[in-house]
Amino acid sequence: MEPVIDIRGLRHAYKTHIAVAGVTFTVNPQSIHGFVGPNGAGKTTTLKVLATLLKPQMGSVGVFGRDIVRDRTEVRRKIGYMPDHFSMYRQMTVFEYLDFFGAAYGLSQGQRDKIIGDVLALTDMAGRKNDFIQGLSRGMQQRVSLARVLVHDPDLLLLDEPASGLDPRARIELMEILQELKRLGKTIFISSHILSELAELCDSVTILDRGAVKYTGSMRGLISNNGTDDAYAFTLTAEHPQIVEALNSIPGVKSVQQSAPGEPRYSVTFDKEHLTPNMLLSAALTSGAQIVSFTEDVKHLNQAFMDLTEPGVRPE
Amino acid sequence: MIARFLPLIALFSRAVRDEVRGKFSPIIRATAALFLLLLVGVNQRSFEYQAAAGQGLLMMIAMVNFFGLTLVGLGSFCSAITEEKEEGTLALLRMTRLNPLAILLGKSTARFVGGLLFLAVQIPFTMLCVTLGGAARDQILRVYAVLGAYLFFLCNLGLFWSVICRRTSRAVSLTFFCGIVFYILPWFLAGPLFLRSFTGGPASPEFGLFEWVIAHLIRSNPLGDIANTIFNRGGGGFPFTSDSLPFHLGGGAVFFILSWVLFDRFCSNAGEAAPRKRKLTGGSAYGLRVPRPWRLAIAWKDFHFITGGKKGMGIRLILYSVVIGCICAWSNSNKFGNGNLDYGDIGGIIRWSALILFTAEFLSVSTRIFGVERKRQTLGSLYLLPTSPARIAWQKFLGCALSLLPLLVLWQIGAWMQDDWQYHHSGSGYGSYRGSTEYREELFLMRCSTIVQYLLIGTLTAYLSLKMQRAPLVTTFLIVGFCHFLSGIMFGVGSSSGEAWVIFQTFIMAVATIVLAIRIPGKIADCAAKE
Repeated sequence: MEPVIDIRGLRHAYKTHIAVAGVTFTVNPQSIHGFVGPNGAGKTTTLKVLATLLKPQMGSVGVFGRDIVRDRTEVRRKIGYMPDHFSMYRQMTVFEYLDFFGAAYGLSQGQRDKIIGDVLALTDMAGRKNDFIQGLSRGMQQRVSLARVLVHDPDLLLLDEPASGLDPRARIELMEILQELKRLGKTIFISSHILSELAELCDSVTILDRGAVKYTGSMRGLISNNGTDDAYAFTLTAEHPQIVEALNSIPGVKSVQQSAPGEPRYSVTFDKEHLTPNMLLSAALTSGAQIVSFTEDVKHLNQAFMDLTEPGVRPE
Repeated sequence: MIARFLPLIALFSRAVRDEVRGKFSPIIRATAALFLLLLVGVNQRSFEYQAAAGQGLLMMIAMVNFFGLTLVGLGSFCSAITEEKEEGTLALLRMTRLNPLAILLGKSTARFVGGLLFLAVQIPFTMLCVTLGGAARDQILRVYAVLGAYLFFLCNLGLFWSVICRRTSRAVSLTFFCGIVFYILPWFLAGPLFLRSFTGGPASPEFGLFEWVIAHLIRSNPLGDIANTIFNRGGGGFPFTSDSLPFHLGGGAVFFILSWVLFDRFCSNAGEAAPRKRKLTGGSAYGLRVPRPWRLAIAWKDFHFITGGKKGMGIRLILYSVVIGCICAWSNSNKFGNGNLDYGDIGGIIRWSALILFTAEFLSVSTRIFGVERKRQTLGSLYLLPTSPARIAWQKFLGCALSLLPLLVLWQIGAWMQDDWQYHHSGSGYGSYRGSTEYREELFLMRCSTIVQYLLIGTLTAYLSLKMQRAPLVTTFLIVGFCHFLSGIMFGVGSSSGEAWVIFQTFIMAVATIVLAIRIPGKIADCAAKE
């Protein structure tokens, strides 16, 4: 299976500041790939190179098997880039905005009418198509921005921190739209500086820090990469101290911790080679705990992220 | 006590720091200094022969300062408050202990002091005019006093519009418009009024007051006052009394007080935070429904959303026709001796009005063609379209140029009417001169030079709007003016080499236009990558 994105030894510097230093990774087709890193890690620079806004100073970048420098125009037809800021013609209506980009991509009026209807339905903006963009809320503007990216039906979406500044509801709705797009056969490359935000969405992830790749691969692999331990969390109806004793008594359990005194949430770290989550669940039920939820501990993902990235601000 | 002023001092020092760190200010100062030095250099030879060389030099220095302050002041003073509005930081300032007066003082004083210091440092150098002869120390001091007062007026007028407007561009336009009303309009009104008094026109008390206002505005014109000071030794010799001083100091104070009084009304946090709702139907800049995009979609976008589209063009054309009609009617009512306006006069009015309006629209479009995209950070999404940056630039140029067509047509109609009248009323000599090769060559050269000059100014402004966020038009005028001046020195303006000078200038301008046009696509790519 030929990768959709194939970056090898990408390097880009702004004068003396090296933004990206020898980045190499690939992204499989029809997947959602998370691109995670702290602020200033080089995510936006990499995305801009992929979007053909910047030329790579060293290394090669291929999209759908085409070189982004040599075949720039062809690559542009296949990608849709959504920057981390709102760059919109706010004096246009939603329909005029999408119609303009459709025409600029060379679509006929009939094609535009059909595809605009589709993308407005997908982004749930059909009812607001005659509204001026400047009167829309941030979440709605983000949807319009996403609709604009989709208007020429690209196969690869490059989204730079699309959820930043959105309220929780808008975030969840955005993630649902992205899942739907994946089902429609799109490949989505999404950047964020919060790993847990992408945990449930992404099939694979690349973690970037200080211009270098710290991890690239599947989301499961990221957790596996963190030694042989795994972590799960129980949320109970009420505090239940007996669960700690019950879980600690199982061979292979490394630690059981209550998240805070009085809170009915317990995290269990265990050796996944000797134990399975089912064994933990049955031990917890035996202890008489009333379980509300039993999930993989997201904190654990954050810990993996913290372990892979370096603390402090990147020096110039 | 000092603690009360700490926020004001902090704001003032921030404004001074911004001024010092900015790239624009030192370039402007260096350009002005170079310009003044060149003035001395150019006039070096004439100093040896003229009896009062200092007088001419003083006038030149005063002119450079006046136009320099006007151009730079428009960009600088008009953005005092609007820059905070545009960056959304005015609400943050208002949340501190700063009251409106402190904000106004903190934001405007640094710029005003900067301008005043710029004038002050020149005074010792300008005293050279006394040595050269023809100018006295008092005259020099008075010229600088007039310029200082004008600066104070401009600063507060700009501040006033900066408080009222949301955008710097609008504040600049309105300040410029006020300048025309205060300094240029009275000259147009004065002629017929004085003519009427000579021919025994009405002398009602209302008309007398109007005449008094016009006469006072003319006396308060800083350029007139400077010329009067230098050539007529006006003002009785005392350096700090002048006709324009009370007007400018008083007017400046009035505009400052107005800015203070209206600050809460126009700069409230609620106003800044509230989303600007518009009606929920499709429309262009003029609020009218726009047609579906053309095949050249970028040209369509710019035509409808930067210049207002066909309907906007129609509205402007009606407005311009009304203005031209009013000028014709007004000229007709004030034309003495020759009876009514003739066909040629109307043609002349249409021709020159259309040219002035075309120039204003052309400059506005040149500033906005890329400036709007850059401000809204939309160049990236345009650059990502599957087309080359050169095609993007070309389509944008096409979209904007379309809106200028009606004024060009109007200009051509005026020119045709005027020429036709002259042809039929000036005898056979005029006809044979028009048919001569000499006339045709002259006309061709003049037209080429004018077109190239417009193209250069447009291209340079568009290029600069990609490079700098503020004052691209002012910078264009400074650069073009400086280059004209340099070429004038090289070819000795007024000498017999006038035609060669025009050809040289046209050639250089054409080359510069082509170079800039070639560089624009690269600059679009740079800007798109930086967004």
